Amino acid sequence: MRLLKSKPKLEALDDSSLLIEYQQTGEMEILSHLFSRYMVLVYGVCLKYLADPEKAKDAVMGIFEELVTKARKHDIQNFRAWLYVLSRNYSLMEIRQSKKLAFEPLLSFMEFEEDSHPDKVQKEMHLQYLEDCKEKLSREQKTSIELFYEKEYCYKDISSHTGYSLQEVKTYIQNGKRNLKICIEKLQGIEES
Amino acid sequence: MDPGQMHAFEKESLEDPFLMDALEGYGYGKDPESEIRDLERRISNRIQKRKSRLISLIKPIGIAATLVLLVGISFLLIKKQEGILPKVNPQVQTKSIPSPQELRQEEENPPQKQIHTISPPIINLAQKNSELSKNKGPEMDIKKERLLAEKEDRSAPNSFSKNDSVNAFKREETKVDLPGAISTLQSKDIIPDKNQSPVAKPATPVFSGTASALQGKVAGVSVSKDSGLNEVVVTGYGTKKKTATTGSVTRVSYKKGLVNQGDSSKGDFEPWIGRLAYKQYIDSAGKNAPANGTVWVQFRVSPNGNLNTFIIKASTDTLLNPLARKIIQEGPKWKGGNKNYKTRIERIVFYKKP
Repeated sequence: MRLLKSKPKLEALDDSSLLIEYQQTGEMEILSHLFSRYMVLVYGVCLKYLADPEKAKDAVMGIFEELVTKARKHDIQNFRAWLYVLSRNYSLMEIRQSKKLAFEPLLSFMEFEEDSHPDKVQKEMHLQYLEDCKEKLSREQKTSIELFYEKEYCYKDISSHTGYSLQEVKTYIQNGKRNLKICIEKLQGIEES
Repeated sequence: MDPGQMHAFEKESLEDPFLMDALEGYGYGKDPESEIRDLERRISNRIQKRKSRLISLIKPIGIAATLVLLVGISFLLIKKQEGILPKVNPQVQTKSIPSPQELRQEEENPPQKQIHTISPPIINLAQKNSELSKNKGPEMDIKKERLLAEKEDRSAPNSFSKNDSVNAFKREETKVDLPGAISTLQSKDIIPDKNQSPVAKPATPVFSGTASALQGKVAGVSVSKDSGLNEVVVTGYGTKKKTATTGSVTRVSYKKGLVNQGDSSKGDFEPWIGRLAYKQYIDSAGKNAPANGTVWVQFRVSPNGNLNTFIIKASTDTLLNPLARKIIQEGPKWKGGNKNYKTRIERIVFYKKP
């Protein structure tokens, strides 16, 4: 009966549906369609770690080969996140084999935390904590965060405005965000206690 | 992308480590678009290879399965045909059987006396042999004579004319693989003896064979087993009881080559005309002997019944030796010779004509 059923349009299906379809039928077309949705990101990740386009391309093909078998074995809840972890681990494994470095793979499964939507009172408190913690940041981090989040500048504009490099801008923004988070959590902890 | 879109994209990437790492990685790429296209091509090739691998596996399996099926069907059809079609019996050659008119004639006027004489071709052969023996004398080289006789034996079937009964006899002999078969000479071929009246009626060709061999295989043949001697008399298109047959009709029972000619002589091989007739022939031939005496003549019988290698084993009077040899040479053929050429010693008693 399955043979008589018309093939569903792959574009209309989401990741989980495609994955189930592949796990049941084993058709390579379905897997390749699913993989092609994230192949750009996979290639970028491989390129970041391997720093060579040819090696990165070979790594992408290797990841696809692993996907053929692993996608049918594992119970995957979030395919995107799972693919990111698989790609990162594969790339790091490649580096380890070439350079024989110590490697600690990421957890096989990683989920992104969904954005919470706090109520109005808590939101006010968080804003207050944010202002207080922003004052505790370094000047570069504070400037970069303010230009990026408040003035909605892109990296390029911030770089041209402040004179920092693109990489420095990214670093300042990421580090600043982390420090703000730690500070807010600390204040929240004190408040709760 | 405009700055607003860039900002949005970058803001998104901050929340997504997958995107952030990828964006960082593209900083190392030279031409990301062509590289992505190359990757897409490689993946599509990879999928095609897998498909063709499956097809290449299925194809020979399919071909092999088809061949096995065809062989199986052919085998079954052949077996079925063998079961349906009856086994073909070996071809039975029929002898020439005289017409019913001839048989009726023979019944109405049974032959009183039958004299078997030698037809010209045999005489010619005998003469030839006697000439050879004359040239070399009574003590001719036995080996040479044997070789010569064997050679003539081989060529003998071709040396007779068509109408010759002996030829027919020989043909029949070679054609029919029925041991014990015998045919009498037909009237047209019989040369009457000077001193005796010619045979008035044609002899009935008679031959015998095993009941099972003949029954239903030769036209107009039926087998009678009334005699109790397991004898078969076959006469043309009808069945003739032994009791109804008169005259000196030669019959031979196939039962292990026994000859039943009124006497109870037995032997592995015999003259074709029978012992009694043979004796009569010898007596008749030896009547004009120059002297009284007895000669023992040894001869060999070939598979086709021809006689050769005549040796005088003993003699009371050497004068009689040539005549004795001639009588045997010119005499009727024998039956029972095999590939090893059976040897026989015949005694001839001569009486001088007063």
